[in-house]
Formats: sequence, structure tokens, C-alpha cells
Amino acid sequence: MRSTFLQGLTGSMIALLAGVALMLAIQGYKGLVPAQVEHNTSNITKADFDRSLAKWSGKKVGTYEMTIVDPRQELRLRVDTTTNKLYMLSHTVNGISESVDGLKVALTGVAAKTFQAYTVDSMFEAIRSDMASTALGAGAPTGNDTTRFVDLNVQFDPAVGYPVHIVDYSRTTLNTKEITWRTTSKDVLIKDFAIIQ
Amino acid sequence: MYISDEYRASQQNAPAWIYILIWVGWVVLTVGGFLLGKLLSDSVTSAIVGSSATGRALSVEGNVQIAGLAGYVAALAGGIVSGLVLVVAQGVVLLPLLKRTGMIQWAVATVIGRTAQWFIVYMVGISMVGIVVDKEIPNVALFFLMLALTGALGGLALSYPQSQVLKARANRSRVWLVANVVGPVVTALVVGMTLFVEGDNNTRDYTTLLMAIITAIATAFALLEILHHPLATAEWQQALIWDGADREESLDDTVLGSGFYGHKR
Repeated sequence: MRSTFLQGLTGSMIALLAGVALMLAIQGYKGLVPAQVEHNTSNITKADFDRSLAKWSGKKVGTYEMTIVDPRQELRLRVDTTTNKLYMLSHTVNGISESVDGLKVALTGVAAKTFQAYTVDSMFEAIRSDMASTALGAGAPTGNDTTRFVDLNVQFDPAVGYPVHIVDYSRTTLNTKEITWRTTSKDVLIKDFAIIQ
Repeated sequence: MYISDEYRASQQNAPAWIYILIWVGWVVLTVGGFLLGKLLSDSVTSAIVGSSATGRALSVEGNVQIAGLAGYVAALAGGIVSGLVLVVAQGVVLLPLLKRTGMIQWAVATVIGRTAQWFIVYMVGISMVGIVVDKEIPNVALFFLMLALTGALGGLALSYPQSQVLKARANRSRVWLVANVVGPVVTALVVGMTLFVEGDNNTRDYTTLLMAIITAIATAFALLEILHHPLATAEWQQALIWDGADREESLDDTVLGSGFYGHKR
């Protein structure tokens, strides 16, 4: 009877120790992901933004090409800032290549409006707008007891100043604060940036 | 086939209705024991925690309040109360089978196990509070894994001491571990799904019931399996040997276990 008791106790203690290990693992996970805070956040200040914008403006870039990657698509654009024209050089949506006109024909109409958002100047405007939203501090109520907070993460190219990576996260939590779900509302990466003139 | 199983096969089983009665009784009493135990232990823990509760833990079972050191004391007391109530409920079925000595062992094992289970649920529950999870497949899967592990460890903490009591009396005692893990794991996954969809565990008032039902059904099958494979030390060997008039009707006394060959003479 004594050995049955001791073996049972040992087993429960092992399960308890495994529970402690799981608890430590959860704490480790929580250390790796940003903690829930009751306000919007931004990894850049207005001074950071102004400095990068000044660098970009100071370069007086006339024409440039870049590859933009977001979760859904990858596109290569040529932007002519002097004529305000956009050329689609390649476009892949969900891994499938779309036909493009290349340098023959500039984008017009809806396409021009849509992809205008990916030019460096438009991205600076979007970041300025996002910063203004996050500066409001409080999460925007979305009904019931839910609060939503925004985390803005931007990296600028240290030499030329254009935005290299823009990520906006949206954190949603209820007043019970049991869990916070984080979704990526924007994730734009610029690679292969080249100044043509 | 185990030697003890051969011995068992040479004996006459109790009629099927006895096993059906054990199965039904076990399910009803286990569900009742879990629910009543939770109700009483919640009253005890509320008295201990009092106004020191600072919030709600992300618990895979019940409504667990965060209360620092008092919370651990409450988990200990709640586990003991909950375990005792479960012992009394299951004792109605087990006492005739395990007799007094076996029942005392079972009682000690269940109280230890249920207390450890409460500790695990509390400990992991408070560490999960305020967790931030990206709504992407790998992160959501990891979160579900954390919940499932909590349920599995809780189930093992309860069932391992009990399985040692059974191991001394029967083969197949390992099925007891599996049977006790299913309920908490399924419940933990339901909690995870609710959190994923609603952002809030609004099933917390029903998780003990859900876990109790699944655990009761799974362990009822496991109990029958164990009862059918006793060692010579099992107290229920005598209790479940039926020497009444049904002996000639049983298909157990057949050649090669098949009814086609008729009864063994």
C-alpha cells in the first residue's frame, strides 16, 4: 500500500513539475512576443520620420524602381516622379504571374490609383497618417467590451531614407483581458530599390 | 493472453447487466462527483480568496480567480475538497469492487491527483493571462498546444495515482491514463476555440460539466476493460464471478471462444 501511495504521489509530482515547466515555457513565449499594453504604440518618433523624409527629399530622386512585397502579392514598379507616371514591370498575385505592360504603357485609371499607394511619397503619407492615429493613444472602441490598439513598426533605409518595411498590427482584447489576439493589418516590404535618375 | 486472463477466462463472468449497471452508475456518479466537487470547492476557494482576487485566470476548467499566494492555498483546498467529493461519489461503485483497503488507496490517490490537477490548472491559468497571440496558423496552433498540454497534464496528475491503485490489481491499467486525458484535452481545445472565435472564454461555466461528461464516459469504458483483466490480487475477482443459473447460458464457456461450437461440457 505504501509503495502504491509513493508511486502515485511521485507521478502527480512529476505532472506538477511538468506543469511548472509548461508555465515557464509560457512565460518564455510571453517574453518573445510584445506584451499587451493599454495604448497604441509606434517604434518611431516624429523626429525619426522627419529625418528620413528629409533624407529622401534631399536626394531629389526623379525615377526609381523597386520590388514591393506584401502577403498577397509581389510587384516591381518604376516610378517617374517628374511625369508622375507608374509602370508595372512585373506582378505576381498569390504566386501566379500576371501579364504586365512593362515600360511600354504607364498605368492608368483604377490601376494607377491602386498602385500609387506603393510609391515612396504615398508611403510617407500613409506612415504620417498612421502615426497621427497611434498618437491618439486610446484604443478605438469596436463595440461591446472590445478594445483595439494599433502597433506601428517602420524601418527606414539609413542611406536614402525611404521606408523599407512597414508593419501595422492590430491588437484586440476584451475587458476580461484573458487573451489578446494580434492581426497584421499591413505588411509592406520594399526590396531591390534602385534609383534610375 | 495474460496468464491471469486465462484464469479469468476459465471462470464465469457476471452477467452483462452487472457491467451495464457499473457503467451507468460510474458515469452518473462521476459526473455528479465532478460537479458537486466543483460547486463545494468553489465555495471554499471563494472564502479563501475573498476580496484579494485581482482578475480571472485563463483556465481550462471552471472560473479561476487570480489571487497571488491565497490563490495557491485556494487551489490546494479546492483540490482536496473536489477530490474528496469525487471519492465519495465514485466510492458507491468502487467500494464493492475494491473493498475497504483498495478504497482507502483509491481515496488517497484521488485526493492527491485532483489537488495536483487543480494546482496545474491554476498555475498555468495565471501564467497565460494577458497572453498575446498572433492570429496566424503557427501561433494559433502553439496556443492550442499550450491549452491541450495543460489539460493533458491535469488529466495525468489525477489519473496516475489512481492507475497505480489499479496496476496492483489488473492488467491494462494504462488505459486509465488515456481515458483521463481525453476529457481535459477536449475541454481545453473547446476553450481555445471559444477564445479564438469570441476573444473571451464564455464557456467557463460549462467546462467542468463538459470535462466531467467526457471523462466519465471514457473512464467508464476503461474501468470495464480493467475489470475484465484482473490480477490474482484484485478484490473484485470474487465479486464479479457469477455462479448462478446463468452459467450454462454464457458464451464465455465455449470452444475457442466461438458460439458455433456450442457450450463446453
